[in-house]
Amino acid sequence: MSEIRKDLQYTKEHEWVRKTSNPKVVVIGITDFAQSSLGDVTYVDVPAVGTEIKQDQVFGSIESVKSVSDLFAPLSGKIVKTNEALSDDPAPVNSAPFDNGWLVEIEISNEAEFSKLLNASAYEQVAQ
Amino acid sequence: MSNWPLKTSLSVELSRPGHCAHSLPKLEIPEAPPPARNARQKIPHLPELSELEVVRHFTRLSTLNFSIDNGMYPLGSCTMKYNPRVNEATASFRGFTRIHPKTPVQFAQGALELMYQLENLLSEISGFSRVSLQPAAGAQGEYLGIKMIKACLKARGENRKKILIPESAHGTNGASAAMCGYEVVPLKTTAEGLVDFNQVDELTRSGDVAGIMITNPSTLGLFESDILKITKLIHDRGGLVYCDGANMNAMLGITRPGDAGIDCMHFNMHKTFTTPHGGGGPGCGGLGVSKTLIPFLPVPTVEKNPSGADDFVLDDKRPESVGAIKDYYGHFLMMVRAYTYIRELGAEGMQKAGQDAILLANYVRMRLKDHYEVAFDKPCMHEVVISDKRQQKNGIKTLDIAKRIIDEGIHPPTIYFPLIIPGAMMIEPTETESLRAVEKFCQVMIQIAEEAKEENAYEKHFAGRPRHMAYAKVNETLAARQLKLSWKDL
Amino acid sequence: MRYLPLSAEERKEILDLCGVDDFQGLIQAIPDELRLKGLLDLPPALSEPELMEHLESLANKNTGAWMQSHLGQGVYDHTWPSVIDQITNRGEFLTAYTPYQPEVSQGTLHAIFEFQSVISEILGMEIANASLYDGATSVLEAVLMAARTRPQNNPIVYVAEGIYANTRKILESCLADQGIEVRTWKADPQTLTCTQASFQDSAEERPVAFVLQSPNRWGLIEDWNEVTALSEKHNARSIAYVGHALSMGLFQSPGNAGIDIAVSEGQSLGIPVGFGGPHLGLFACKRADIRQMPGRLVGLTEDARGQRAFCVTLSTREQHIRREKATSNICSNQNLMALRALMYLTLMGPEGLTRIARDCRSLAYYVRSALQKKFVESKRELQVLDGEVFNEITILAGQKESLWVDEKIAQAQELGILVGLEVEIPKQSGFVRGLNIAFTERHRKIHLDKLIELLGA
Repeated sequence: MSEIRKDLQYTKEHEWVRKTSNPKVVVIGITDFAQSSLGDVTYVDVPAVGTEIKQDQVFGSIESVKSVSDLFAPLSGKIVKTNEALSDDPAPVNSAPFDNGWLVEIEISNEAEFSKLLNASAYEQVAQ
Repeated sequence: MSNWPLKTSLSVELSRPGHCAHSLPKLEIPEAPPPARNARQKIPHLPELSELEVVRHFTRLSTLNFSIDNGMYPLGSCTMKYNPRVNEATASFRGFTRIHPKTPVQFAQGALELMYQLENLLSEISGFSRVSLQPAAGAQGEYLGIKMIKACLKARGENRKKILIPESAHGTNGASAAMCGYEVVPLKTTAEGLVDFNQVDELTRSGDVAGIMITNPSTLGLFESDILKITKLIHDRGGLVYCDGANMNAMLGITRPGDAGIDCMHFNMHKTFTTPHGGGGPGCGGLGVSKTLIPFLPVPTVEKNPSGADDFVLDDKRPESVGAIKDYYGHFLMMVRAYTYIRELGAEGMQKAGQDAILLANYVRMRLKDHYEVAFDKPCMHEVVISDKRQQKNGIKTLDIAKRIIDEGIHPPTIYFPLIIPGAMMIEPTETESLRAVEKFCQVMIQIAEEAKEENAYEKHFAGRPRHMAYAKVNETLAARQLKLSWKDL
Repeated sequence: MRYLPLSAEERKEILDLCGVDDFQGLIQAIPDELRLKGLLDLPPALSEPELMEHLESLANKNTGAWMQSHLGQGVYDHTWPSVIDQITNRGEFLTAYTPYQPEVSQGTLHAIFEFQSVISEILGMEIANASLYDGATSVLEAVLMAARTRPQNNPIVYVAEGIYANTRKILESCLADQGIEVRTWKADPQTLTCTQASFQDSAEERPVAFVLQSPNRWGLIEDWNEVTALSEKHNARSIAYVGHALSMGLFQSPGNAGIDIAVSEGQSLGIPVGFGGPHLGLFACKRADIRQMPGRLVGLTEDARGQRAFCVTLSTREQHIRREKATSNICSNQNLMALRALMYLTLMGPEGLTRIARDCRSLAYYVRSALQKKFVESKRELQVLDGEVFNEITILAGQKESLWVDEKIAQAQELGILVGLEVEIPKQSGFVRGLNIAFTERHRKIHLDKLIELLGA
């Protein structure tokens, strides 16, 4: 059974979103289910700070030894921070996907988009 | 295979200053003055070893390899059949090894004649009108085929942008189409892994489909029974048909792709026609083409002398040719091997090869069907697809089974391909294996299936495999993370 | 039949197990109209002695293999130590599959790692792959890689005029498919080398790359710094094509000049000329570009027991994972040829490589000096191209001597010599035809003197 955090929101492409103390900024990562299907992550490819991303569009990718998975933006916005530690060592994406394995922080551009996200119990149905 | 002293050194680690293994003639003429400019500043850092040290180093390395000469490779779609040694003998004749590709044709008649004859033999075997031997490997053959299709449509004044490719196809198909600038439209296969005629019908109505890339027999080892219908439909809609010839072994002497309306098909000489895999290459491709595509063949082609004399010439004055995709004529020394093999087998041998390949794959299917989920419970061609569906119930996966097989001295089958069967294992025994060897393989697989049913199966039988080889499970994650690609990075 | 062990009884046993009466019962899926009704029309099967006889008679018709050959232009009839054939013929190397199961392929993988190491060393580059098909397709892949890293709407690549004619043709055939236009970086008509000064276009549309070959098709050594400077000026990638791999024993490596992508044809490293193949494409680049690199890569790692081990890595660039988004459609490497090249460089060592490079160049110098003297004395419109060379020289013929090349080729053939290959000469040089002559350590003084006498006559 993969871990699902109740306080987060999700997409059906297995990304999670965490709100921060700043209402305009959220943290994005991939779920425990995603990391376990991928296998050992070897490389994380996310765009540079300042890049605009659009909800549901591919904004990066994650590589494991045997596969590459696209990352789909859960919300639209601008990248304000990336997890640079992952370029030296991407292992936290596997060991702590909800914590040290976070990928990017974005400044959201459209609050209404939150309605498209899944809550924890809805995501549980997806992550079978 | 060896359980050799496990510490293998890199040649640089064995290097000692002053050791050498070269033997060069003395200059009989004055040495030229050193380069005034652009001289290399530092001598390359290469190992210094004596000849014996070099021989031992590489001999030891060779003993760490599994090979056909050691044991069976039941790798689906790879056709790992025996590499006849007479091929090596003929390919090493001075007349073949020491002839420069730009030799004026009158002094290279043997090479041209061999190429000409080989093309004819392959045409007869495959049913195509002509063959190009220029592609270096299957992937280049695919690229050439799509390129020729593109040229043909262009000559008709068409500018179609799409190519249909079944999801079950080999990864090179999509990559080759993309290299030619086409948009790939994936086709969902039927439950049997075959092309869905209705889907092709729908997708080709718009008239912007350049063609389809089909694999026959399919990547699941089944013959596309509707092939004539499909090729006719594509042609009626103005497109052309490419066939991936990786599975040609199932067709030798039994059926011919050229008769089924295929416009071009690549050969994998290193599969069907026994040229050696060499640990990953060189391959040897080739492309059979229908009459429609002949004008677009790459140059130069080998022709009989148009003047009527008995000799052969090279023709590069073909105005509609796609040009050249590779330097010179292709992997000539591999052609010599394939030619030798085809001349040895003859018509009866060729047919027996195709039939025995199919017989042995079906033998495996019947022996394993009570122990593994067979993807399709009906006669297969030269390969059979099974999966880990039953074993997964007890937590054992295809990868575990693969690593387990290694400890029995057999190479694992192709795993996790085709992607449409989760946990696929694709088994192709090939006709050069004896029934005894194939039965041994089946017994190993059955034993593993029994082990997988036990309690604590993973810990008892599957963890930490291989256990008995010189090397245990290799850490591929570490390799990808640290990316050390040269001894400079040590 | 010796490769087809199934006996008639065994075939029957299998048919019974499958529950069918005859073989046709297994191929019901093949429509009847597509099943062959009889045997293929192939020539009668040959036994081994007959095969050897037949193939040998074909080989013997290649009389060019016994002539004194000075043919070059990217493929050279060098020697190689016998050890190479002996070791690469071992079944464990010859008949092994691609090393996808690393635990049983450490021989191949270790060898590729060493190959990557020696190639990156001689080219002076940070990383090298496990090889591509040949030099020409390596240039092609380099341009495609450069284009991926410099996305443009209408990409252009500038290719030095000194590139081999064959390679140029392949670039034109294949780059068009990706919408990349090939333009010429013209050579200086007097020196027949390509420099920043000889580059005449303005290149306002930013090219994706500049490609320079050295030694070039006229045998001359080019300066890698010219292409790096020109590329930097236009924000393009610099691609170096080392025309003769052994020249790295004597001349500056591309890496030393800061080149982005270095490629070469590795056939001179222990691989037979073999009527054109199989040969060996060398490909090396900077670490920063690793994810855009085509071809197989082997990386260092360890096994579960902590032993040093190797495996194929970064397969996520390749076709079997990325499919149509792959860096290339390439599936194989030239593994057996790469092993030959590795053994060649290991057997030669630094001293041997330097020595053979020096010796081949001395042969070229010896013949050039002698011919230069003779041509000056004869006052004919013939000249040997001056400048820094490796193992090839080019004789230039003026308008008055426009038939000299054909005459000499024919006269040489009468003497059992393949004197060289015609090479195109830019008109502004004042000459109309060129004859390119290559030298290897197979040529003794007696061969060279015969050549000088023939050409100087």
